[in-house]
Amino acid sequence: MLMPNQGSADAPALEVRDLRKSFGDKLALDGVSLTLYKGEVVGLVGENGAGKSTLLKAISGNLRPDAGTIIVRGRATAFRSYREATRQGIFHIYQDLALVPTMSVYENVLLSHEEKFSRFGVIDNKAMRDRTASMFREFGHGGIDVSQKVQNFDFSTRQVIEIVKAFALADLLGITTPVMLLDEPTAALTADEVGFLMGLIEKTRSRAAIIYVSHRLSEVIAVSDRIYVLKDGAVVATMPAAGVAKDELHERMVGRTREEFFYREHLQQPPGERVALAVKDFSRPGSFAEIDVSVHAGEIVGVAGLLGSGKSDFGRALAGDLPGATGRVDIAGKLMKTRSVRDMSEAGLGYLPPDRRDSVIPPLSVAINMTLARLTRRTESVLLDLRTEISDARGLIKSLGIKTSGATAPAGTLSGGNQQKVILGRWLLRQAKVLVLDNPTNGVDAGAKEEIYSVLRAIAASGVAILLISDDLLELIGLSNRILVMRGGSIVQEIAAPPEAKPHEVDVVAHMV
Amino acid sequence: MNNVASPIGPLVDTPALGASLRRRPTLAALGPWLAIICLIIVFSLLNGNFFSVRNAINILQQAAVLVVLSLGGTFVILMGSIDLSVGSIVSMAGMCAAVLIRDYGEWAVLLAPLVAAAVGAVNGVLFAYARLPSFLTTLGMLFAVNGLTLYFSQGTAVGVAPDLRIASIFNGSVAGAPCIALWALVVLLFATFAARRTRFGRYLYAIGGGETVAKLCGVPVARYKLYAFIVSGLLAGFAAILLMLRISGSDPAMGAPLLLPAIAAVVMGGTPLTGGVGGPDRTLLGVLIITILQNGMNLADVNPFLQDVVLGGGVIAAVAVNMDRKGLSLVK
Repeated sequence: MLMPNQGSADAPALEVRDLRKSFGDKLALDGVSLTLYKGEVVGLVGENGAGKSTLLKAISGNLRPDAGTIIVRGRATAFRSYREATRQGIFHIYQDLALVPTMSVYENVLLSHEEKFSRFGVIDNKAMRDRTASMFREFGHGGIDVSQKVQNFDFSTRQVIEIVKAFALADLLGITTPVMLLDEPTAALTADEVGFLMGLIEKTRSRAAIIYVSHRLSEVIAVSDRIYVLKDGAVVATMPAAGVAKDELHERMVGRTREEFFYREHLQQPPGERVALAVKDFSRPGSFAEIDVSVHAGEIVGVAGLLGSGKSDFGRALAGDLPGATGRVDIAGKLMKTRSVRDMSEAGLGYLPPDRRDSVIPPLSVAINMTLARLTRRTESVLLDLRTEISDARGLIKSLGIKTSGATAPAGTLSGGNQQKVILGRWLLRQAKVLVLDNPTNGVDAGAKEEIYSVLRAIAASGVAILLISDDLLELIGLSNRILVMRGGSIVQEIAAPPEAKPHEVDVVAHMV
Repeated sequence: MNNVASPIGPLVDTPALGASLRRRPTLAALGPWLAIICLIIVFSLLNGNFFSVRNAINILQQAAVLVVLSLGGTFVILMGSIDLSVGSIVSMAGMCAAVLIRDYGEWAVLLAPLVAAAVGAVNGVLFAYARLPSFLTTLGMLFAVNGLTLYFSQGTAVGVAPDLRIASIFNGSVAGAPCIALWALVVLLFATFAARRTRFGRYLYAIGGGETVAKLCGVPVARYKLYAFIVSGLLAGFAAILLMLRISGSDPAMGAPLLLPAIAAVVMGGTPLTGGVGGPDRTLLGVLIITILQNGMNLADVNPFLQDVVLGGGVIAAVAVNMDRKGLSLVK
């Protein structure tokens, strides 16, 4: 293990040993160990689902690990709640900020620690305000009016408030080296705001120990002293940040070679004649601009891009679920004059959102979930044919290999991968001509992924055009006929991906960052 | 539609996992039945007159109005919304019906449910298209409709002659069964059919179970929300006619005490306020529990004030049994 140049023989601010956590039969943390010293910023990178957020939650008491030790400044701990962790100087700063927008800055900063400012249960608001204001001055943000409500501040200022809050509490609790867990702090920030945050980290790094999680690899390399690479719940590499290249880091994150069979590359077919989806000059302010794409029947077109590249917004806008997009969209040769969700689905475009909660209705049966999109066709009878519904569902359960106790089982009782197959089945029954899939294998294990890939190949072979938006590069490369790379809202590159000459990940990443 | 799936053929071999296995009934599904059986046993022991044909007919007559009213509420609650204005709508429609009979003859009474449906449509438009929370929209309508009813009736009751021909259709009996209960049964059958066998019902379950999912499947969510509120109003109007003919007149305050039992019946039957599961058939059980409780306690001479305490305890117990609170991080 590398020692940081911090010139102190003290115990680490935080040490994690062999942490384990599983959700059902999915292993989220598979023996993670990590050391963090005072004055150090440790970067934590990994793909979606690698276990970064789970690790942070376990450290901050928001989640109880199944096994393992967490040692804070030399003392083994087992936090039962975030409040307990906070009292030991662990502060988790979330992606979605944990501030109460309708309360003032000082009320937020000192929330749940009012007793330090109370006498006989009466809160001394002035003392709280003064204390908070002096903290902000100390960090060079004396301009923030601590009596203002949090909702009156912009996003980056709220982030500052959140970080200052952590230091204020540490100070209040007499902790000299707080451990700050920053989870995707820049995900929603503009470039200017990122610079602002980096400045704040520079200002505070000497008096804290920081774990910095981000998808933006260049940021992680710039801000960190050391980097841990997490994959499938385990640390696969540790390295000093100085001199690391982004591609190298990315390769460590993905960390496996693409297996042709896994992605059913031998089943990849050349695109058909017919254009199923044609998009021209498709723009939406703040999301994406001037996108031109056409997808042929039977073709799988991948869309790659980092978080914030606009690829997810592009998919949602195509589905009609994001208003304000301009441009021309044709489905199966028919110009879409209006583009509500209903119009798009009536025209034969099916959309699979990235969050499964937006695609599955857990209490309703597999059969009902499968037939819902077909039912919305204008030509369908208003009376339901329950017998056909069940037999259609059984047919799909069999042909898609869905593991369920039956067509009438509530969809919520199925595993994630099988739920995803139910949704794909839904659009098959609907006889969709175009499928827009946003991360269709999000949060499912390798076995289920393989089965979903089989299903996607079969759907493409039946003449459906698929637009595959994904964060999983290998999946994109393996499945797609060609890959569009998005950056800053535009398509910056198109990469051909025929089965005999699949591009390397590095070729794709080079255009993403 | 098998021809859609079959060209794909079996992709993955899965052993048939008892596809035809029937689901085991859950505690939430059996709870209302158990409650009804327990109540019947307890009240039969307390009073010899309880377990008799005459009292059974009594209970059915007492239950009829509440059945019709809470069936309307069931559709709204299935979507995860709520209609607090149904009590006021009963008062208004009842008053309209009584006035229509007085001024235009007895068959004009059939216009009253249309007035009620119109009020429901206002609720629906405010909720579905103006996107106001249903709780607040219908709370406002509760007051507004009540005020209108009092204003136009000047706060006085309007009687109707008990010997109207239309009254015999609703108040008589067929082969010993009270007509009013048969009407409620007809509404129950229609409502159950609508919920289980029509697109309308399916959409309401889908909206309650996952509104975003429904929307992304192409369900015209706002339109069906409006329909549900119109149905709720319409059935409140029909309940008003049953009630008016039963008590031979209309009182501007007659609907108000029905609101909370109607909602309680839906929830006790097994349709949670969050929507997505349950249905009209379950609501019947909820109504029976409430009516049997009231009837039995009357026969057992329980103090009427204490009856409300028992009823309230029953509602809380039903929610505690029915609701799956494990998955909820926040209970509001």
